[in-house]
Amino acid sequence: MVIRLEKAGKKIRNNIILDNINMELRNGRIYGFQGINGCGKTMLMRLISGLMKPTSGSVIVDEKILGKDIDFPEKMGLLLENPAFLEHYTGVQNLKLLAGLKEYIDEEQIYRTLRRVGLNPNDKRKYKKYSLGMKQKLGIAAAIMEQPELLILDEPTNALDQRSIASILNIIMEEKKRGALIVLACHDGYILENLADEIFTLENGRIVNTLKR
Amino acid sequence: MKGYRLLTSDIRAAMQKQKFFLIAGVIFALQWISGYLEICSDPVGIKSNLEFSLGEMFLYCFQGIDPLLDTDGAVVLRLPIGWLSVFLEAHFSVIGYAENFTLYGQQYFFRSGNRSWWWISKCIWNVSTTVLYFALGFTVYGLLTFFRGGSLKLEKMEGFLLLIILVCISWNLFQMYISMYVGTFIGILISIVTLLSSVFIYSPLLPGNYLMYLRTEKFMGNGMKTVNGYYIVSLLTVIAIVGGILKSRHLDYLVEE
Repeated sequence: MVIRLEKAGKKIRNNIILDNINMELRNGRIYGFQGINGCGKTMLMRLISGLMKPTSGSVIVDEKILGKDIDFPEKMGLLLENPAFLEHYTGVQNLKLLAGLKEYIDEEQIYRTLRRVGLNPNDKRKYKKYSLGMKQKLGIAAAIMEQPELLILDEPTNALDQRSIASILNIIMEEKKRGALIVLACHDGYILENLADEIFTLENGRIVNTLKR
Repeated sequence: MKGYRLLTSDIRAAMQKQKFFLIAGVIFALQWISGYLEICSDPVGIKSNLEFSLGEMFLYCFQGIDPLLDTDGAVVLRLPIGWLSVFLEAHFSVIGYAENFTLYGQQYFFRSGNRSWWWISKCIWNVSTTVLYFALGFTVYGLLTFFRGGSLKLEKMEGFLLLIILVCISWNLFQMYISMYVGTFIGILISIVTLLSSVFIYSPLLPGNYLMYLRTEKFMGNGMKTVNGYYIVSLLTVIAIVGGILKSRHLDYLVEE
């Protein structure tokens, strides 16, 4: 998978949110995004995922223009901001509901994914009873369960303890080895430096620095 | 196949949110019936001489109120509380769509793979829910009439019942459509205000007027024409579906919780 952003920009009510973003992202690599709150990281992820349309320029996924040729990248896993699920369903029930939309995976794979992120698939507790860390893990499970070609993770280590963080970072590396294109936003510079092949620094909606490793 | 999967997932997700409204609908139906039975069993009641039948029960439920004008043409302040509750409940029964405009709905949005399909699926779900709401209410009415030995004849109500279901379907679709612009709370508020306005303003442009049997051409002669009701239904449905598709094509999913 190759994603190209060509002069991509976004204005909302005359405010420039993203400005003249140019980049090329390839599968099997991790792209890190850093910057202060409100610099445009999440907006850029929305643009790449197809949740938001650019007001100028374009996002091209495998030579198909997003919003014109396709609406969303076909095999995408996404954790944007806070995870959100149906409160009266268990973790398994929530994932089954989402997986049912594409039917790429069976129940066993859902169970495996939950174990992989450190959740018990036989846990009968409803989502509303989950701790913040468990909610975050379920969000990550939803993003990776279908073995996506494009994995977008916005602050995936939020609310996690040190052990869980190590486990999730390990999963991200495994996903990279599998060949996924990973877009990762994180406040923790140390995590990005250790994981990312390329780090983009955003400021006021513009890329002000690119660091290749 | 993809559209079918999207729709079934939509229904499963939304049912969790709206089952309480639907249960409340059944309770409303039971309340109506008890009220009707009270009148029927009252030896000096206005309907005590009428045959106990499903058609009469529907008439009791959906009669509404005649145009609220006194002899001088001034509006009289009276509210058909029971009638209002049935249709407010109908508007609330589809409120599960609010889930689609949240962070959770975001997961559905991109997994749908297609923005137009996403909206069409919401519309089909919305229509199914409204039909289910009336089906539940009507089934309760039918069963109680049957077990009480009443007649199941609908008599003059057949065409009218179809029209009220269609008016509610189209308005609920329209409510969901405008909620994309103004949010769920304002969307339902507009429905409430429109329904209330229909009570006081006798106009063919206000859909609530088609939901009151006492204002139909069948009852009043110069009352609301059924054909105009179908025009309103068609217009609202087309605006909601086509407008929704166009809006969803350009929708930025920016919700934050």
